[in-house]
Amino acid sequence: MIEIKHLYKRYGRFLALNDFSLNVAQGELFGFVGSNGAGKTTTMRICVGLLKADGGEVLIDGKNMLRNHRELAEKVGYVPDYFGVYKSLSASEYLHFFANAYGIYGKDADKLSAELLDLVNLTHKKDVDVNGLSRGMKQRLCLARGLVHNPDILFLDEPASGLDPKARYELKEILKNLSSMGKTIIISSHILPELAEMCTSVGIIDKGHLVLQGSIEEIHRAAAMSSPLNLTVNENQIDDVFAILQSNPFVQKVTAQGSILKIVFTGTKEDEGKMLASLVSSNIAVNSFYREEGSLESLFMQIVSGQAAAPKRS
Amino acid sequence: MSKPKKNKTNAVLYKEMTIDMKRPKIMIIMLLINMFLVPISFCFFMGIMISSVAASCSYRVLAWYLIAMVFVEATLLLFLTPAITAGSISLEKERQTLDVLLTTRMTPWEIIKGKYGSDFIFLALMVISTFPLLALVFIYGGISFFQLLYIGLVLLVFIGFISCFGIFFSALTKNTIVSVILTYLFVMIYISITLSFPFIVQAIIATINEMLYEDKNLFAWITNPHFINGDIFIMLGTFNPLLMIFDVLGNTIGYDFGDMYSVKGMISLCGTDVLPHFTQSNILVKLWTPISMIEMILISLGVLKLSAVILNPVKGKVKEKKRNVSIANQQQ
Ligand SMILES: Nc1ncnc2c1ncn2[C@@H]1O[C@H](COP(=O)(O)OP(=O)(O)OP(=O)(O)O)[C@@H](O)[C@H]1O
Ligand SMILES: [Mg+2]
Repeated sequence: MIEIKHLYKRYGRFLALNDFSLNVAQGELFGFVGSNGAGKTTTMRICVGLLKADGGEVLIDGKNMLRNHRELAEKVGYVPDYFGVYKSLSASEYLHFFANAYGIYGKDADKLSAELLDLVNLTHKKDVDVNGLSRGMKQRLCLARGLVHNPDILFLDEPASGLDPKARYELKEILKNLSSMGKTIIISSHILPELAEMCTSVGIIDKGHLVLQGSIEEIHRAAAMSSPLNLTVNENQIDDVFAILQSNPFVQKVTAQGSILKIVFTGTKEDEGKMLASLVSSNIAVNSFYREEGSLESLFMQIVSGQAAAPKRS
Repeated sequence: MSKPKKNKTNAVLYKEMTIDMKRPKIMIIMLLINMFLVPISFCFFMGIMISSVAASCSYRVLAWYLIAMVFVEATLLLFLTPAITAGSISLEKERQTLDVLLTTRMTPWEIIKGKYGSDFIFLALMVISTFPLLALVFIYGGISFFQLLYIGLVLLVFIGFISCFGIFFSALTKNTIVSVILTYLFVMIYISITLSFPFIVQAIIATINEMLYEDKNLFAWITNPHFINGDIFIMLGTFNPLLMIFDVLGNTIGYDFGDMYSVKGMISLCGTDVLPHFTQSNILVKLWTPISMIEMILISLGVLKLSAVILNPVKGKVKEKKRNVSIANQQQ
C-alpha cells in the first residue's frame, strides 16, 4: 500500500510537484501517465527515497519512507529511466553484485542471478559485458536488477521505451506475471493506451498534479464519455437545434461542420435519450445520432490540455 | 529467498576486489611506482660498490638511501592517491550507478567504506610492492625488520589520510575532473599550511615576547619564565603528513647523525633559541610520529563520515506539515 500525501517539489523557482496525492492499493498494476516534464520521475524518486520532497510525505505500508529508508529498501524496487550499469561487468556479475548489495551471497546469489536472467530472457547473454548489450537488453537487465531482492513494490520508470514490439509484449507478460504474484507495480509511461492494455488502474499527472485516477474500467468509461455525440440534421434547422441544445445543462460545447453537429455531452445515456426526444418533439428531422468511439488518446489529450477541467461553450 | 539481517561483506568492496582488481590497471601502477624507485636503488648500490666505501661509512650511505627512497615514494603516492581516489564516487555518479546503489539496503556509509576500502587496499598493495626495494638496506644491517615495518605503517596512514580527501571531493562534486583538481589543490594547500603554521605561530609569540621586553637584551624572554610559552604550538606540525614521514625516518635511522633528521633533532639543533621550554627529550616531541598517526586516522574517519552525510540524498530531518502549507499559500 502506497500513500502519497500532498507532495511538493521545487527545482529552483520551478514547481515540479504541486500538491500531488495518490493512493495505490496492494497488488495493483498501476499505470502512471503524463507528458514530458509532468513530474513522473520526480514522484518516483521521492517514493524510493532518492529525492527529498519540499512538502508532504510518502507512506509505504503505513511507514514514512524517509524515516524507515533501510527497512523499506527491502520492500521497494526501483528501475530508473536510465540504466546505471558498470563497465567491465558481465550481465550475471552485475546481478550478482546487486544481490550482494541486498545481503544475498555466494551460491544463493548465483542461483538468483540465473533465475532472473531466465525471467527476462537474457540467459544467452549472461557472460556478455553489460556495455555490449543492446538498449532493450539493458532495460531488461535493469528490470532483473530491480527484482533482485524480491520486492513487494516495484517502481518502473518508462520501462517500455526503447523496446521493440516483441520485447514490449514480453515485458507486459513479465509484469502481468509479477502482478499475479501479488506484487504492487507502478509503471510510468507517456502513452495511456499502452498502459491501459495491462494495468488495473491508472493515474494521470499533469504539471505536477494528479488530474485523473481510476480503475481501468472507469478510465475507459471516461474516455467513452469524453468523445463527442454526432448529430446530423437538415441545414435549415440548425439554428433551432442550437437553441434547444443551449438550454440543455449537459451540453458543454457544440461545433458545426455543415449539417453535422459535434456535441460534447456530459450526461448519462438516459440524458442522451431525453435530449434526442426533445429534439424530435420540436419537429427537428434527426438524420443520425451516435456517439463516436471513445479513444484513450483523445481523453488523455483533453485532460492534459485542460479541456476537460474547464469546459467552454462556443 | 534468504535474507540475512546483516550484510556480511560489503558489496562494493567485494565487487572492486574480485572483479576490478583483475584489470591491468593495478599491475601498471605497481610497475610505474617501482620504475621510479629501481633506478635510485640501482644508482646507490652501484655507487657503494664502485667507491667501495669503508664499512663505517656505508651505514650513512644506506641511511641516505632509505631517506631518498621513502621520500620519492611518498611524493609519488602524494600524486597518485588523488588520481586514484578522486574519481571513485564521482564516476559512479557519472555512470548513474550511485542512485541505484542508494536504493539498495546499502547505506551511504557502507558505500563510502567500500569505495575507500578498495582504494586503500589498492594503494596499500602498491606500497607493499616497493618493500623489497626498501628491504635492500638489510644487506648492511643497522635497521631492524620492525623499524622498516613501522615506516611502512606510517606510509599506510599517509595514503589513508590523502585518500579520504579524494573520496570526500568525489562525493561532493559530480564531475571527476573537478574532483581531482580540488583534491590536488586541497592537499597542496593543507600540506603547506600545516607546515608553515606552527612556525608562524612561534614567530608571532616570539615577537610579542620581544615587544614586552624591548628595553632588555633580545633573548631575555627565553630564560624568563613569566613570558608567553608558545612552545606547545609546535605540535601543530603533527598535522602535517610529510613531517610525520620525516620524523619516523629520523627516529629509525637518524641517531647516527645526532638526531638531525627528525623533528626532535631539528629542535635540538635550533638550541633553546627557538623553543626555549621544549627540549628534545620532551615526551610530546618524542611521540611525534604516533601522535601524528592518531591525528591522521581520526581526521580520515571524520572526513569519511562527512562524505557519507553528503552522499545521503535525503539528509536532514524530515520536515513536518507546516512547510507545505506555506508552499501551498505561495502558490495561490
Ligand atoms: N534536477 C532538476 N533540476 C531542475 N529541474 C528539474 C530537475 N529534475 C526535473 N526537473 C524539472 O521538473 C519537471 C518534472 O520532471 P520529471 O523528470 O519528473 O518529468 P517526467 O514526467 O519524468 O518527464 P519525462 O516523461 O520526460 O521523463 C520538469 O519540468 C523538469 O524540467
Ligand atoms: Mg521521466
